[in-house]
Amino acid sequence: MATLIELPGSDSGVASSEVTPESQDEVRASSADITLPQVPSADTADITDLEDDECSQDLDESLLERVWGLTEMFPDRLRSTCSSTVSTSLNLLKSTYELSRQVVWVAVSSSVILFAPVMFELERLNVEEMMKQDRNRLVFGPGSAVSGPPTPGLMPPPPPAR
Amino acid sequence: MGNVQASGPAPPAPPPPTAAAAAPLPPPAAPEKKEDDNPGPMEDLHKKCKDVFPVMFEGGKFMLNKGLSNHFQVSHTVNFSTIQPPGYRFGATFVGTQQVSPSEAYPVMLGDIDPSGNLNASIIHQLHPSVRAKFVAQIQQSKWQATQLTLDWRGTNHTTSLTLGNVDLVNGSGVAVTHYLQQVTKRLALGTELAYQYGPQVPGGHIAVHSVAGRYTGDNFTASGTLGGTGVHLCYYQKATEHLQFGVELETSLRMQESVASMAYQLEIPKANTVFRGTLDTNWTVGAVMEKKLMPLPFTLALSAMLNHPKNQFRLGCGFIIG
Repeated sequence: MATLIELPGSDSGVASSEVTPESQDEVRASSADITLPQVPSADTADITDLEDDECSQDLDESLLERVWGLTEMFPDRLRSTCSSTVSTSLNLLKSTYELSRQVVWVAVSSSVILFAPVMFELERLNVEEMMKQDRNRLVFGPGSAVSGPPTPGLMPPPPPAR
Repeated sequence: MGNVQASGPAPPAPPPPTAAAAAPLPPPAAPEKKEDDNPGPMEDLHKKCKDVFPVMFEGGKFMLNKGLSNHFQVSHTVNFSTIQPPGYRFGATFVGTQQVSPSEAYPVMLGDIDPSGNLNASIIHQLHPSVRAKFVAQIQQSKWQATQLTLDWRGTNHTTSLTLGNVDLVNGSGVAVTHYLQQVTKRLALGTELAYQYGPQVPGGHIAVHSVAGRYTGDNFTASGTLGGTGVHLCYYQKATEHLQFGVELETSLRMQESVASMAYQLEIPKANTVFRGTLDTNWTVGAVMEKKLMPLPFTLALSAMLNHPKNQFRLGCGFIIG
């Protein structure tokens, strides 16, 4: 168990690029116990160095790493179930949106072709009848607005004259 | 092979010609007019239903009909279209002097031709009070495209017809079709059809296809069907109100292995002088045609639209007809 006095000098050889008073203190503390392996002391020296010098970048990365680390506490099955549920529901939403787009387009375009002209013609007819009634009432006085021949079965009959 | 002569005050039955139908026919139960009991030719079996369906066209159409006299009518048609080459067609209709009834006169000759010589012509003539002949010819690019000769014999309660199509004596090919339609009861008519095709390009030299047909007429509806070697064709027609009619059709072809069902409706608005027909079918095709008479002048405006959803194809047609 011979204590080599030169050991402290060789201990700090790894971190010799950044020689600070704190590192020197650490090295001196570790020199008392030669069984301490060299690597951890070098690592702790590294981390404390980096933390002090590059605070902002280091903080962001380590935050994410910390949060990611937090998820590791849940069991694997729960994590995979959650992620597949979320992605499946997103895909379902997208495909529902696409399907509803198609359905609405088919329904609207088909009703424009099949029903729109008929509706327009019937409306025009009704408006003409109303105008004729108004004109009759205007020319011949009230009580003379005659309801014309019956309208086709689809539309309700015009209201009776007052 | 004589016909049983009706006893009592029956209408004078014409001597039956030796035609395809050889079975002796029962006499009519009561003296009725011949037209009431006659079921009409087999071609008109699905007519009521087919009339409800619109015929869609594409592009611009301008037609001028001019009647030159009681017997002669001329029409000029100009077509603007992207899918067919635009062109001008001249058509003529001649109605003869043999007046059979207030609405029919024979012979009727109609045809239309375009400047490059493509001709469609047909001649309809009544050879005898119960025999009618029709000849249709189509010439395209200086070649006979199609010819068809049809002979109809309208009996008291049956109709027999014989059709010869594309008879080519030089190459020995042609198509012959015989129809027989019998009015079984006042509402039910049953018939049969035999189609025979012969020629060098037919596998085996000749082929025959047989089918049966039937039509049931109700108070407001007509159901008709054809069932045979080529497939099934069913039609149903219903008159909902005085102005609204529906038609449903199912056509199955065994040769093409496909089946199409389509539905159509027709709405008339007499006050607006409009007739609107719309159709919808299982090929996801939607179409409509609207015809409007612009009174008081004899103008007609026709608008046609057809939308095919799977192919995303839209065809719009607009026609203006004078006369």
